[in-house]
Amino acid sequence: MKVKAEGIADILADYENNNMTTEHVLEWVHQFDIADQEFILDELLHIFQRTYLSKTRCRQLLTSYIKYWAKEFKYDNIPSLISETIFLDLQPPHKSQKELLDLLDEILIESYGCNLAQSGQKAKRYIYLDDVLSTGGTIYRNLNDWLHSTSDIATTKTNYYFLKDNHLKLHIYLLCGHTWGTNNVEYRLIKSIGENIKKIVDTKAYYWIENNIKDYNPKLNNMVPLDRHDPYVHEYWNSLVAIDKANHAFRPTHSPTEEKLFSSPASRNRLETLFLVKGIEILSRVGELKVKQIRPLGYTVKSHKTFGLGTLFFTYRNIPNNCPLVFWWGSNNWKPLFVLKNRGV
Amino acid sequence: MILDKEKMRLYNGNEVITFSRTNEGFGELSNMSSKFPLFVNDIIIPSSEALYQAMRYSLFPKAQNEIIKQASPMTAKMISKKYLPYSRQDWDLIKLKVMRWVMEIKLSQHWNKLAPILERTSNRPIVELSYKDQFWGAVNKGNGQLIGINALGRLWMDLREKHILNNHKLKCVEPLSIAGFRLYDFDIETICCEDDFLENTKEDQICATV
Repeated sequence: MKVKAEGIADILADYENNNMTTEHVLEWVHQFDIADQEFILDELLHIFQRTYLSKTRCRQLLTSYIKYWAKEFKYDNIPSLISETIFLDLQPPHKSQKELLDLLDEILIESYGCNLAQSGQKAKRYIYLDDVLSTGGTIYRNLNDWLHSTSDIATTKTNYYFLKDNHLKLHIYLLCGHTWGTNNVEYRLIKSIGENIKKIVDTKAYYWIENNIKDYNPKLNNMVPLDRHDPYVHEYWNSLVAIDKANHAFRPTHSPTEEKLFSSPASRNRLETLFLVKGIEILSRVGELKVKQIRPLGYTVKSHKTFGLGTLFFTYRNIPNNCPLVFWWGSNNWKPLFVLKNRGV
Repeated sequence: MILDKEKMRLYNGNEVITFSRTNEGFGELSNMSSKFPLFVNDIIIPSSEALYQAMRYSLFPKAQNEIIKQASPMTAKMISKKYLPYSRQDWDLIKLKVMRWVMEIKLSQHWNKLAPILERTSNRPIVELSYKDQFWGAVNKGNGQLIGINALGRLWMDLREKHILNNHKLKCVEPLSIAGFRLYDFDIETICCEDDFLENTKEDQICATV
């Protein structure tokens, strides 16, 4: 047990909001039944190796994005690329976008002899950088508002018409995207702005979570439980006020067709059930929730009658609140593995 | 294809509204228009043509996926031809129903654009003008008359009658009660109109389908 906890603490060592010691990991896992503890550590060791993004790895990713942009947009030097690119900065200071832009700025200064203050001297493209697109609510609101607002450059036009008339593109670059949420954002923008938006906005992510169970052969590299007809789970499910998407709550037994994230299909089934049941147990201690998006497997869309997004992607700066509750809930007699920075509960 | 002569219609070219190419008058009514992407089971379907073609293979997700992945409606149709032997066996019996369902979704999800276009057709016959397809459209006889079953035009006229002339907005489209009527192995949900997308900007809430 101790060696496994140590392994996990090592992987998560640079998580910024709490000290990730072996003792902390053990203390956390001891909240589960004794028969499950070792299994949980085994499986999380397997998952964190694949989906925890340390600061070093994040810097590497941003550096590879810079190199990719230079190649894609045909620049032989980075300062020219930066001066002709506008980086959208649409989120409040403490949110992920600002922090990623700060990190990008650091990399530019250290390695490329330029900085973000020099960006956007000419507008040849726009880039919206963010860490995780989950349900897509934030990105949709940010981009929809921005596209409808007046351009700083051509004050007689909205940003959308400025982009369209000048044949410019808006590129969304993410560390992690959920395909279900991305599809929703794309279709909502089509409806709000017009089908031309498809030619203007594109989305790329380092890591995709294919989480629409109804899509073609999705990886489901997140947690979507099987329906084991457990009365405890169904009682919770039936108590939800939400009514939409109830048929997205459970995955079919044959899906995913190939296991890409967990160590085996059996381990997936076991861990999903453990985290779902423990999450329901935690919520049962809370009483009435003020935030209707909170579910045992993490935040999701308020109107969805599901168990949460079940995200299994983690970054050094903060755990997404779409991850299962057992990871980050920090009250009602539950200690989190990851302390959440902006909990907003 | 053998055409049923009793179902043929004869139109006077100067009394009808015709559509043919997507970039010409009333081209929005064509399934080949790429301006009307649909949203089914939270998946973006690039055109009504792609959805119609995909449903031909409703028990064959691989073919559906290849059709739906194509941005161009014409390419979607070409890909569909590749899989013809895998068509549903009852396709010829259900294809009109399926086409009507597809067009209802198109009208419902793009009501703000399509309702005014259908209003502009007034009470005139709507005809899909084709060079050779006398089932979905009608061909020019050369004497100013158009002849064909004009199934697509007649479906639009029927939708116009029900929803535009009676001022009855098409809010939700129920799935067809046909065995195995599925997209990627999932039953198709009730599909509701675009209003849900245009409102709810303040919440991370989306309910295109219920």
